[in-house]
Amino acid sequence: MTSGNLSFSEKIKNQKKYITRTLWTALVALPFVAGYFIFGVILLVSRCINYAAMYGQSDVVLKAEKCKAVSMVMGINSIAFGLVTLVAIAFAFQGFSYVFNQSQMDFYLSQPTTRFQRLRKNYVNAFVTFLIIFGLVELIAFLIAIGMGAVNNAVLFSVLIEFLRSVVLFLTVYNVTVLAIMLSGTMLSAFLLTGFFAIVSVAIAAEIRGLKEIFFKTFSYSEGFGAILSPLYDRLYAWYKTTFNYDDVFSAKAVFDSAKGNLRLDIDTLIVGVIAFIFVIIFSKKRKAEMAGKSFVFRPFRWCIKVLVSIMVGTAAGILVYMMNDYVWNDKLYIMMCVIMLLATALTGCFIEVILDANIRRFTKGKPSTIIAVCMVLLMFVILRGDLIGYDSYVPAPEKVESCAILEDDYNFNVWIGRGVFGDGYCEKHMHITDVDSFIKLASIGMDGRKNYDTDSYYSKGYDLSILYRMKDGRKIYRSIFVPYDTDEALMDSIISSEEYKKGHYICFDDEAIREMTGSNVGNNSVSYVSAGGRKNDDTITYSEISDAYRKDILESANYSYLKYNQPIGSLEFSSNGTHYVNVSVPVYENSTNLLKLLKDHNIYVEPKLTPEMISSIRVDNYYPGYNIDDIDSGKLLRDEEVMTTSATYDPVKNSEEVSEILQDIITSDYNGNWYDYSQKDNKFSVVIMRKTDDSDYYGSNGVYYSFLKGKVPEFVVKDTE
Amino acid sequence: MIELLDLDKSYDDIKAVNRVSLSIMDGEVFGLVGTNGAGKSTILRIIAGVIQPDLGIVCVDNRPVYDNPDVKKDIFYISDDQYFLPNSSPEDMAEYYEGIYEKFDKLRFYKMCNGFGLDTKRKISTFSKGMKKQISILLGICAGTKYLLCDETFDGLDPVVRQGVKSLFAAEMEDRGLTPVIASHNLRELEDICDHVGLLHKGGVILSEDISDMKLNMQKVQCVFSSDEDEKNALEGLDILLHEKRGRLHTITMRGEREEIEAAFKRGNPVFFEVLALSLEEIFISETEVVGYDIRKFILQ
Repeated sequence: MTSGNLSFSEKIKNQKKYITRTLWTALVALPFVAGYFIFGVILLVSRCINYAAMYGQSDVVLKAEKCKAVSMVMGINSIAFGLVTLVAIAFAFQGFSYVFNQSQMDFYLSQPTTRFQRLRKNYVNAFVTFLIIFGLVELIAFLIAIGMGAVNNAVLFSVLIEFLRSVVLFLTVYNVTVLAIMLSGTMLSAFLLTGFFAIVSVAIAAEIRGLKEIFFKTFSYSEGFGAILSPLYDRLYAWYKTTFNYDDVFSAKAVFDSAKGNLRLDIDTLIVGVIAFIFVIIFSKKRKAEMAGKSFVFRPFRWCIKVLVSIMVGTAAGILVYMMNDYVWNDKLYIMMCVIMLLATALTGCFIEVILDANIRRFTKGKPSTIIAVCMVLLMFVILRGDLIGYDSYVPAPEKVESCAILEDDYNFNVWIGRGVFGDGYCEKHMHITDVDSFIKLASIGMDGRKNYDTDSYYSKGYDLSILYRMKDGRKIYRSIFVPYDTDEALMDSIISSEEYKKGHYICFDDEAIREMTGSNVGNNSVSYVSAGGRKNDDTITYSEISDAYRKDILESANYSYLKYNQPIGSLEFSSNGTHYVNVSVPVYENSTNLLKLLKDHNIYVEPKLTPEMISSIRVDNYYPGYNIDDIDSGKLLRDEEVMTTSATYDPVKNSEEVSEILQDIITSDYNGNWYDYSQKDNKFSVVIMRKTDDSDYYGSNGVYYSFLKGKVPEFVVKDTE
Repeated sequence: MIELLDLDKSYDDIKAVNRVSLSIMDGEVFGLVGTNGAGKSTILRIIAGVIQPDLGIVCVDNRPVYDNPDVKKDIFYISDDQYFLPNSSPEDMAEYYEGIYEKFDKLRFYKMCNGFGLDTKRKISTFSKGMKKQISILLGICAGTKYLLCDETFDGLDPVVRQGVKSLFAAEMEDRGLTPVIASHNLRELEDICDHVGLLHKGGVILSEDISDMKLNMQKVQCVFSSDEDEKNALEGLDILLHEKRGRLHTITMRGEREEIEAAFKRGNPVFFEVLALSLEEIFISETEVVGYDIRKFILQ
């Protein structure tokens, strides 16, 4: 009997045997996939049921927990992508490993088929097998979840979206692995190349970031990581975002929002897959059967890989030098860094030759490519060290900038209402300063400040800021700047006192969710006002009242020219606890008329000024007796040099005159406001006033802290403490 | 017919095939002979469509072979390092090939395996080297292709099996016009199988001729002459390739038909005269020495 006479069922049987034999990895993968999905669902849902029984959860809560558990195994916040990745790599190697072996090449390529047909057949076999395994197993797991009452719309959408994402990931990883195989002549080099493809873009992005940090003073940490075309990074980052910023209200909307938020990463993965597939087609046509056994089959590619890896390792070595010397970094270390980068590059080039040819004698071979790699690293070092690309002096043309922002988040809000850290990245989202000309003037001053000021100075000389230019072409440019305190106040006011800045900086201008949450949690809210004079509580004040007053005060009076010279006089503290929490500290200034009115209306206002009658003692500490504070920056006084702090204590009865004088000249250190000019303070001295009140703080202390303004330190204090 | 026209193939700096032109006629057993590295396997791989020549073309029945499944249906290639699917038995391989070659005859394969004493259910990985070669040959024969390319396939087969395979080839050639192309580094392996032999050396073809023609057109004579004058008369006008003399005994290899040579020797009245059978090796040595090659060192082992 010949194959021409075979029945359809026999042909199917033969094909099944063929797939079983040539894709045996499928049989290996199946138990793992089944174990993960089916047992995963059963175990996690059972755990929820047991937990609910033990702790008396309601049916509604139990249902929600079970749905979350299923989503954690099969949905958008699952780790199934790891399994998909492994299966894709295994299928690719199983299907295409014949290219590493001449006898297998003879066997397969002599058969009546074309290279393209063979490629297509392998692709179809792998993809269909993947769909069958994952589709069937997930269907079974889903049916089990239905049987256990652990499915709702959100779970259904979550699982369907994740399955679609898994298909994209599988195809991408499969294509990338096949590409690595097509470019390699041995299993080992293909594995190494697959690993290289997996990490190369992440490693390059990390190195670029590291180099910017080392060489450019105006580099801003707000700048995104920027790894593109990396499925590994895409999936891990998406998982991180979904898992840690996940809306704890598990709803279909939350699933869609989360999936939408990760869409850019999924598209990035898809693009990698498409690019890899195109290259697979090209290289499969170019690849010759006799190339089996070589490390990398295309000489130019081998050359490129060697140069690229050498440069990357050389650069990594340089960054490592920096990391090891981070706190003692100086100009001389740049020379050491350069030498180590060059040496590491050259050595890597030599080792790559040895590894690729598995021959130690190749150590000194391939000199031209090694020399080129070394030269490129040297060139890169020179460009970065000399800032030949003008990174630290770059200021965009105003007409190309759409809007700007100062990225200093409002840390007075500590809120969890189920969507990650509330207010995280608030300025980047909300601040759109359109007075570009003024902003660029300020930024230019800040760029110069960053380059020229010793920003590691012991005491502050200006404002450390991260800024953002949103360009009209869609790019976002971040810089770290240092704006000296003596910058033109009018210029500062044009930015800081603008409504665009205020509404983009203060979280209270977009706090509807907090208002809603605290409004429905009235019984668990607490409000207190605290200042130097003490603390008063009134839990009847609502968050909305506070926020309304705060908004008005900000718009009316939170201007730079005021904030620069004034510290808050107290803090209005609101907290609401329950399944979520809101902890807000609103700084209250002397000119916060609306907040002060609210406090007074509710009779919780406390005078900020202390009188001698309220005080039991005053202690003044002199941290550097005999020294000028500037001696630290000038190096006369070493920072780790032990200097004994001296103190003088004043009793309001025995030293009434001294106490009165001290109270006149001090400013609070307990309440720090934005944009205050801290260079006004004399950091050599610290004043601790012990109050008679029982209103102690969290640590049981009833002391309040103050500083002297520069030039206002009473002579007797100097005399008593020097 | 398989035609190789001006084939050229290099592996990096190594010239594996150097402007080779050959014609392999249907229905004959073609032997490719040469030392290791002479280019035999490369030529077979090119014919099988596994690798593509840098220059030149291979046509099988006037159709280019590379990446052409229609042509490859007519070719079965047995590599020198045979590959079998992992954990497969002869039965599995037959089933596999049944899906590949339309004319594959599985029942015949089973019968042949029985005939050669090969267990069709046993894993091939447990077979000896010679048994694996037998499996390959039987699979190739049962594939029903017009051309069967064998790379060093006969090396290592025991004489009984060799004889059996020869008989199978003969039967297949008779029944359906099979054209085996056999590559070997050993002339003695091919002598009794091939109709036509191509001799390769350093990627080039030194010689390609029918063995029967070679044998008809070349004679080896041992003789004793009574005088130098007789010797001169006998050898005058003959195309002598090799002439050895030990004492009075002459061993002369010459080109020409037997009758013509016998007539010439009668003119010299030799004391003793006998036409000897020429081995393939002797024919090759004679032919190639004439064109400047000393192939003793690489043909005779």
